[in-house]
Amino acid sequence: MRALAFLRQPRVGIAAAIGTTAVLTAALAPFQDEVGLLNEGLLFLLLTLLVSSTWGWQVGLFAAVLTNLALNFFFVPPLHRLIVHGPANVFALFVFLLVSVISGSLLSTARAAAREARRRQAETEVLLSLSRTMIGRTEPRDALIALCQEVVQAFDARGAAVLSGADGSWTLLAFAGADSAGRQPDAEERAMAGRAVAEGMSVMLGQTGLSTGRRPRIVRPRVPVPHAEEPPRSIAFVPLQVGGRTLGVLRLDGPIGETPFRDSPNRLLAAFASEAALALQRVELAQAAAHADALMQADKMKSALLASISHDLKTPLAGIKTGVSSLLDRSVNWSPEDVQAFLETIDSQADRLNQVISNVLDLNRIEAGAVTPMPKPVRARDLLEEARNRTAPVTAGRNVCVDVPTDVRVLTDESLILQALVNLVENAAKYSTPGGSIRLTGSARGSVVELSVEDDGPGIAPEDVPHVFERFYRASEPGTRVKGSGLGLAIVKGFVELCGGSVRVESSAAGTRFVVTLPLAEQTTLSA
Amino acid sequence: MMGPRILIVDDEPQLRRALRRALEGHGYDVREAEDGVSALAEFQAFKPDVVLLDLVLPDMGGVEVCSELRRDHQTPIIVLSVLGDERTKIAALDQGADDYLTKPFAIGELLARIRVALRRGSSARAQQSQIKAGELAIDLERRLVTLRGQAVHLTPTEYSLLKYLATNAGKALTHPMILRAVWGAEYADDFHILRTYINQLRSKLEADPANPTLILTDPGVGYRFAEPDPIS
Repeated sequence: MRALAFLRQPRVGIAAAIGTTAVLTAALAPFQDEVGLLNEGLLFLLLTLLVSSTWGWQVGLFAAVLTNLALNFFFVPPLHRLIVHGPANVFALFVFLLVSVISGSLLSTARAAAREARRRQAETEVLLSLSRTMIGRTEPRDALIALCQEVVQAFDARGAAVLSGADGSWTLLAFAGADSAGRQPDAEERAMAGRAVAEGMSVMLGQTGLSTGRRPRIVRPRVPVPHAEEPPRSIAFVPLQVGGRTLGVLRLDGPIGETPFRDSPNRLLAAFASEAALALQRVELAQAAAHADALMQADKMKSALLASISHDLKTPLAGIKTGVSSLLDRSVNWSPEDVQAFLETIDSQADRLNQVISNVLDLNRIEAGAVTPMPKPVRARDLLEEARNRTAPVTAGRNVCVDVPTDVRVLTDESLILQALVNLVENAAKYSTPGGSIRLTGSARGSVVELSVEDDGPGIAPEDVPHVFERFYRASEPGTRVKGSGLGLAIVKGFVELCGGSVRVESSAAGTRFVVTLPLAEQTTLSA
Repeated sequence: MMGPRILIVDDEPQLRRALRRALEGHGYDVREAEDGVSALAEFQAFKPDVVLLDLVLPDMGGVEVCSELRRDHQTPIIVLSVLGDERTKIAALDQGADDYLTKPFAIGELLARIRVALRRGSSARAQQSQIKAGELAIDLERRLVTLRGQAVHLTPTEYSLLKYLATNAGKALTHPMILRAVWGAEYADDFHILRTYINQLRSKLEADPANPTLILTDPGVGYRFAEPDPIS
């Protein structure tokens, strides 16, 4: 393609005209008496037509004058002089010149028309293929990638990319072609993209090979030449606009190849640009939809949280209110025991209320990423015994035993893991049968420590097991009161994972066992 | 002294404990049940005069307990619920619960509701022929309604509605309950009919129909006729 382009250049045509005229003259000169002036003239006319049809009428005119001179000098008497004898010969030469110029220009016009028709056909084919491709892509980003591929193909370009962020924060959305087309725009490219957007037309840098055409859509950049150490670049930026709003730019990496659109790329580029702009708009809409979806999810979460905790908040409040309003009731002369009982109720229910609120706040902190674990070696036994002590009020009437070797130490954040263990014990107390036992055990296994909380309750239904760590999830036995907000185990998971550990559950009809796995602390000198 | 018997059905031990103390302090004879099954058993053994029923129980729903009790007994049931249980609350009222109280509540409020329930539970009201509430008097035998001594003209439907509301004074009545009782089961969903008649009654009986004092709205539930004057 490039070689053909070279041959089509006018200077090549002029050289060819000179060369062929010289050759033809040299070939005919020895036999000019036998051939005859008429035939010699026709041969030179043929030569002119060929040159004209190949290189256009301008080169054809040059060939006509040249062959006319050659004919005059070498074949028309007096020979070897540019003088023509006789009016008939002058007339013949003039007619020859006229015929060769007219026919040459007709030929080249016809060829140009044919070329334009081929270009239009190719353009139509490209656009048809583009629209087919775009219709087939439901995913906006896929559509943009496909569009880039079509651009690369149509212009035989090195690469094409779509950048979004008309506010100046240009980022790559999709690309096709050479790997370099996938680069993020540098400062210079961002400046060019900004200019393309500001001027509403294409901006080029270096020799893209794109003809600027007569329309001013593609203009020479006033952007500084690339730095000397970088290879010279050739890039074009085409703004992507929908309804007067710029959504991004199409970046075309040149130089482009020899394609039918090389000389007048604007129509095709405009078509690509509008398709790309529509796809970008779809990307925007999809993002807006995703954002709205996320907001809706968050809203649902909040509603679920409210519904979930309202019962947990109101229930202890009911106890407190009953106690307080009774104490305030002066119509009854309460005995000291009565007063004590009311106060105890108020006290325990206030604690419970505090626990619910702490859970909500903990979960909120986990979700906001506001919890920073501070790991240090902690004795597993201390953790489990402290968890037992803290849960004594809710495990009253149950046998809670701790079974752990004294020398096992875990590397973890003490307060977070303690809260997680407390939640696990409370959960065990809540879901197991009153009077049953709860076992807290710990053991080192290789480089990890397993801390487990085990009850002998009825177990978790198999369909509930995968969901127990989900927020607001509560085991749903038919007709059963669901106690708690369903936040406790979600907090366990959140805290344990923050500490670099994991938690799992094993459940059967004989009981449920929650296992927290944490890193083992280095075995330093122990003072057990 | 053993006052009226009250059965508390709630699975929160702390709340039961506080309620028991408070009610016993006011002279009631109190027993507790922590779930539906023991509530039904305790009901048979204890024969309470009023049941305080939590809506969410470990073994069965409060609504279920309600309909079980209503099968053979007319004992007043006061539902205790937390906000957010609206649908269950209305279901319980439809199943025969007499009243509801939203947790948390002041003990005075509960005592007042218990007194109303006890009065209604006593057989006196069923046989009474005249109901008085403020300046309104309804003579059930003569189908005569008087306001400040003046006879008020009511259409037959208005009278039926007023009679139903007044004979259930103090009790929370859901829309479907009123519609079924006054218009018939097939009208149970026609809330707008009820609203229209309530407005007509209010304009005839209330001093200020916009701020009713006799026919009260129970938001989200239905209507409640003002607590009548004690029978003299």
